[in-house]
Amino acid sequence: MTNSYDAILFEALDPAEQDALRRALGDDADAAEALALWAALRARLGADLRRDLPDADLLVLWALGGDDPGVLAPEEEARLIAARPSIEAALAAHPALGDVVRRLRADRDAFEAAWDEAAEPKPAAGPKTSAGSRAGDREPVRASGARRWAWRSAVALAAVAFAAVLVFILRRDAGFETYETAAGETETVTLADGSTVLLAPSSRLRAEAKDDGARRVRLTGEALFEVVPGGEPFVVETATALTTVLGTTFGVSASEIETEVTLASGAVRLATRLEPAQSVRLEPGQRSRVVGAQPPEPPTRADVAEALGWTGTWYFQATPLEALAERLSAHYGVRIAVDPALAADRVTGPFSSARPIAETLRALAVALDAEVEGGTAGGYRLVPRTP
Amino acid sequence: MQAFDSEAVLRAQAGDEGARARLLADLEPILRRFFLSRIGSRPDVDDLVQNTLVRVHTSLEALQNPARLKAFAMKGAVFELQDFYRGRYSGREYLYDPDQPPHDPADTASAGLRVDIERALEVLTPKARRIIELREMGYPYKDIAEMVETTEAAVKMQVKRAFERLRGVLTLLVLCHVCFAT
Repeated sequence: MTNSYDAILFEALDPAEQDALRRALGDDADAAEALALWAALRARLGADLRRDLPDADLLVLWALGGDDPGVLAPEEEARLIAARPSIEAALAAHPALGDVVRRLRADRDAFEAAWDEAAEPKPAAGPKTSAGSRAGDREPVRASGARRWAWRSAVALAAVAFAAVLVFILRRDAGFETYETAAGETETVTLADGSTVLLAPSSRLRAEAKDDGARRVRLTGEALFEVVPGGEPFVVETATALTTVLGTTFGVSASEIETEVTLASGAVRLATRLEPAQSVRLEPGQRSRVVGAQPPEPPTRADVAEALGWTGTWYFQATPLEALAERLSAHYGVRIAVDPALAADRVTGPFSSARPIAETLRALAVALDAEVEGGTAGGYRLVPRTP
Repeated sequence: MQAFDSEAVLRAQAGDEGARARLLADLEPILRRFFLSRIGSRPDVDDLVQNTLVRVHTSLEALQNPARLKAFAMKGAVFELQDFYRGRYSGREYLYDPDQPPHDPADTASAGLRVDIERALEVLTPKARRIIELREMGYPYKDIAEMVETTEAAVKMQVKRAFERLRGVLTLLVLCHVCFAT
């Protein structure tokens, strides 16, 4: 039986092959028992996954909209807000779901690449040749003989010089990638393990170029990290602190003398670089700071939406609806009233500040089982849904 | 692309059949390129493209912001790809009909088998568990290898080792039964 296990484990069997296997297993009780247990084991793991994540579509929405809420429709965003705690728990319990999230984001990137490729203007068609070569691949103008050789020699010398500089740079930075943003510029970086970093203006990030298991980056400036769950803890080094996480969204603002961490979701541990044992654990909605070699400050409540507002996404953490409405009113310049029956309801989740106010309010209404009244002129009002 | 302009999308949503036809025609090569890049050149690509176009066609009116057609189509394509994985691959190695939902061991397994499963789970390595879970979600081994950043052969070796460990558990259990019986 042993030789046929490969086919059973890895190949799809047609009905005739299945019949043959059944007959063979009838003569080999041990093999039959092993395969029955194998099938039951797989079914059990599948059942555990479905128990912890009953609606697999939510993981798709999480992956596609988790780092870009603008991708989601208001109803999808509302579903995600409601399911956020259970999705985070499922991700923590099943590392394979983190793999799926990375895969889905790669799918999204592949689609966007296909879309952008189609949107690129096509090169103007040139005269067709009998060999059928594409006109766009050819040089538009060819230089004459002597000038062409002189030009080629200069290019070759320049290439040798450039290669020497390149080798020096590659040796110096072998295995690392460095990302820098200029003033007024932000950049989203996807790390080798699938985690993403939104770099604020005038910031610098150094990270491993390949995923070799070690998840450690070095930051100067400010950034928002969205860390996917993985085998190794994810560590952000700054001049004064070490921030260790297992899968979460948090912002780090670091200079040479201090590091401030604000946590949107998940959990992180913040320690001084010199004495890693001196650490504090942050819960969602909290902030802490390391100044010089001093121990981390005790965690305090943070205005996460304010602290991470530069990202273009507001991260609300158990924020009372009334306070949230005040922030939306100030941002959009419209009056947003909240019915007293809803004022104390709390909201957790990311909201894109670039999304139209009507869409954001619709998402909130769906999540809170409420309705939106009014329009742009007289402002909006969130009221309980009438039965 | 003009077919994807907000105004063109609005016209398609409002019942302009020409605008709708142009939108779907312009979307088709994008979807084809996307699915080819994800599952390679195979007949299923035609089905995936067609099914996604049907998704977009039947739900276009639900698109609230016509400027977001790209995200709308992207979600349709990704959901279609997920359905493809879940429907075409899950349960293929089982002896029963792969089109049937996987059976729940709690319903069908004997008490003894349930105990064996608990023991088998204990000896499963985290990496093997991760691979089997990805397989249960429908991903083929080639894709799983990419997801866990190793080779397909290494992934299959993990599965074989897990299976051999499980056979070892069975042998141990039989020996224990014999020990207790004597």
